Amino acid sequence: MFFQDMISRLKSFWAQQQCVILPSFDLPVGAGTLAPPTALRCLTSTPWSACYVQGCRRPNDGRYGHNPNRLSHYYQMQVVIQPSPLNAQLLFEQSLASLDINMHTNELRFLEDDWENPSIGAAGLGWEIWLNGSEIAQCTFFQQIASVSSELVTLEFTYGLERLAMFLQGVSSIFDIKWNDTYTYGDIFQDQEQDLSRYSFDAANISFLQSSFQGHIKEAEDLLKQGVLIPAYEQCLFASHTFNLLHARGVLSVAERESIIASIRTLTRTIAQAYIKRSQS
Amino acid sequence: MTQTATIIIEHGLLSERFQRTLAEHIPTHLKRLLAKNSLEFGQISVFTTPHNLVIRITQCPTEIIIKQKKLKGPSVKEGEEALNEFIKTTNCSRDSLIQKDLPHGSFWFADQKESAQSTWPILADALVNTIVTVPFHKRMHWIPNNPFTWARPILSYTALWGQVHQTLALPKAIPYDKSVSGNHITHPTRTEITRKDIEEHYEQQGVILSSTKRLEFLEKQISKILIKEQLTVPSHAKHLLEKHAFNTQKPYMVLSPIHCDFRKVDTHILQHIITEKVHGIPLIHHKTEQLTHFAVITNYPLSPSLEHNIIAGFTGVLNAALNDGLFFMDKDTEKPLEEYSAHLKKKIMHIDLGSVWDHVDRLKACVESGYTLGERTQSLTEALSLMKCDMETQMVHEYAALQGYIGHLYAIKQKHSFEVCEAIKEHLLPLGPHSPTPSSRLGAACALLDKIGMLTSSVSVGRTPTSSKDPFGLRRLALGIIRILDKHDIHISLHRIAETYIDLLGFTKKKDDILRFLHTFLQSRLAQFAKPYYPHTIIEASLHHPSFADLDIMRSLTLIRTLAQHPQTPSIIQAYKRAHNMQCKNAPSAHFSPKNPADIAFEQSLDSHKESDDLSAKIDAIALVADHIETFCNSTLIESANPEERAWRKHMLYKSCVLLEKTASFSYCT
Repeated sequence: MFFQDMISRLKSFWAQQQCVILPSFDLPVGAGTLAPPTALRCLTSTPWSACYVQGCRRPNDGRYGHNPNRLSHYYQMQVVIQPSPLNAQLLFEQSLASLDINMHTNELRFLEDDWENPSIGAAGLGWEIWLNGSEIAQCTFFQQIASVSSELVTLEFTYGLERLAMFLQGVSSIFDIKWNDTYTYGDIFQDQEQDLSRYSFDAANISFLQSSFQGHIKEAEDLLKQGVLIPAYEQCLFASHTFNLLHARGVLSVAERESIIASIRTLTRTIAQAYIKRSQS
Repeated sequence: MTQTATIIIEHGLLSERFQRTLAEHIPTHLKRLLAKNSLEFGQISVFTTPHNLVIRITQCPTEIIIKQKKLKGPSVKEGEEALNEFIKTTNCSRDSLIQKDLPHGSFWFADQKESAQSTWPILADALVNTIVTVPFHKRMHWIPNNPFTWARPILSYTALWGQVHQTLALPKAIPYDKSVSGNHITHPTRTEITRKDIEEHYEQQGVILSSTKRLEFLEKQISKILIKEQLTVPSHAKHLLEKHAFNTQKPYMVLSPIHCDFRKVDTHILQHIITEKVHGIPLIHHKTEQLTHFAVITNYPLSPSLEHNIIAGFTGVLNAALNDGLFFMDKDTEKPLEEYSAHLKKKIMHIDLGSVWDHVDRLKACVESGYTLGERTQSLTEALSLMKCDMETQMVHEYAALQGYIGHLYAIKQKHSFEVCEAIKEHLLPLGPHSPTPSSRLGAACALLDKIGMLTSSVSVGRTPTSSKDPFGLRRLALGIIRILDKHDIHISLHRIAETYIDLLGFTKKKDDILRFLHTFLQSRLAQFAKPYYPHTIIEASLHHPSFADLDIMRSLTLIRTLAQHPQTPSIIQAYKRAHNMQCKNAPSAHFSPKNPADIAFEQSLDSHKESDDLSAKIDAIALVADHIETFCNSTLIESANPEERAWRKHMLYKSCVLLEKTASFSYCT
């Protein structure tokens, strides 16, 4: 099954489960959870189901396109259902069945891995989902967001699309994944991966990143004061990505790292709490 | 007549840790609640699998007899409404009510007659209360505004009282429904459902109910395969079998070979990656002692295609992890280990403590000040300089638990001396209360200095533990220090090393406070360490002795051991207590010339007491003093009519107590 067909099938499966199929969020994020359709919508007490493919950027994971299993830019498929249904595990198994994965000849296991994202004060009960030993997805039941207990427990599935495709196509390198019958993943993204690694580790201008980080934080604070919450949150995401780049460049000491994380966390929490207040009113 | 209550609950996933919590919490909590209701029962048993929880309470009486008693009702002044409410709640008749005058007014009283109440409602309440209050480590909730805090969905339940289905007030859980539920457990002739019935019911569904039996089932399979393949499970990996037994409904084992390209990878690293990345069990070949295979435990009955896919999948993941490992090691060894020390300047311990590099620098300064712990200064300084360098390697970034081991491997590659490499490997030991301590002397010296430095610096910046929390692991550090000193019999003043370290930190002003805290803290840790093996009184007597001020842990520990093992110790303590009871404490010296032969003999015996450096000889000597105290007290009336004589005798006893206290603070035994 080609990469693009796999995505289509999963989207179609979740559309049948009444999920809104959304386009990708258009700003750099480290995980699909941070995109507003999950991070902000789950703060409200309104029922909500959505599915979207999210490009994720983790500069520190870059390997100049040399490592067959690691990328600094990759794709996740994010599914959120609020409130969580009781048959979550069954739904996940059915989604794999929609990809023609035979559960009698393959082993699926759930390993407890409680999730925590201190930068937005979020925590959840969760499992890693392994298919024949490879972690293909994560399942989380959100318990707390913005340091506030979730009124409706939200179910989140995050598929690692490349891992799943490697399993389906039986290839041992991400770059060998067949996107369609003409192109491989490597044809489309290997150059990009090399360039992104060069940028993250060697070329990024440190003073530009530092001032840009301060700029994003300042902008987020100003926007928060004016009550323009979603753009304020977007500025936090920019700041978070800039911090990840600075970290990859190796210019942050442990103490600096901690203080930066704390500043993003405080700001994000304040925005999230204001968002909850607004949604309640 | 008695009956058995059986509750079968189907869940989402229960982890190993949570299954253990359930097995511990449910019987304790239930017992307490049932005892509160004066409900007797036979046995409570709890069985768990990742998807099932079964609770059985055997031999419960079907009815509870409520004994006859007099019930106090409302005050007569309160009127008809209060009286009616009282009649309703106590279920007694109006005719049986009587008025009684008490000092604070007139009240209604009723005689409640002996009656029988069905047990099930009490049991049902206790069961629901127990289930919803199982402690969950993160206190999450599953259903909003609900007493459930353990964040696991309860899908359905079956509650049997004898063989009759009952309902429980479990929020959102689906009660037993014959047409839907799989838990249709019945027996055609018996009225009770036995444990065997339940086990057989689950066995038919491919589930082994008891975790002990799951482990036995797994061990049987493993031993069969291992004998055939001439493989063995390394001793440190055996606990993984138990973990897998908890995490499966019925465990099956798949054997997978390790690709020959990776057999050259260091065995320790290979084992670590197998257990961490694929949760597999490493297997070692009998003859070659090489790690040639690993086992995967699965929850599914094996078919050839499933087995093939599992092997292919897990091997693929393992190979990728090992490829990563080899890549990191190649990158790491492009420069010598020493060069990583510069990176340690960026690793900040605390804003007031500086970096890891500063910490290492302070340890080296301690060595220069003479605290070499009996090791060669050059080797110790070399080991200290290198021991933290691997923190900045890619391999340790990826596999943090290999810190120390990676540094040791890279040091070997650079041909550092064997003892230095071993010291790098062992400097973090012991990692926990049951983890081994460093085996080499140099390793012990590095580990000790590192731990003393960490402990002192944490205390200096106020990172001290509270009664329930110890986020910086200071109790673990202190225990590590004690275990290393004990293992290598190192006699050293921790007080003086800590003092030097505090000076190097520049915290001279609060030095006394820090040292005072360290003193009390180490005293309490040493007491905890000795508690399981030695009497409390002897530990207290030894640790409150002034010699502990120097924090020579080994001296105190040796004192505890010698006192505990010395045959005369009980008589010394007894004599001390006897003298102490005479209220001789701080008795001033008195001008009196004894004439009584017993007085003269006692005085002479105290004067002839000889001090010794050897602890055994010291105890022999005070045992002699103790004998003299006993003889003196048996033969002489201390409370003499002559006040001068009485004061003199008390002073003599005080002197003898002081002699005993030179060895240990026996006042803590009184």
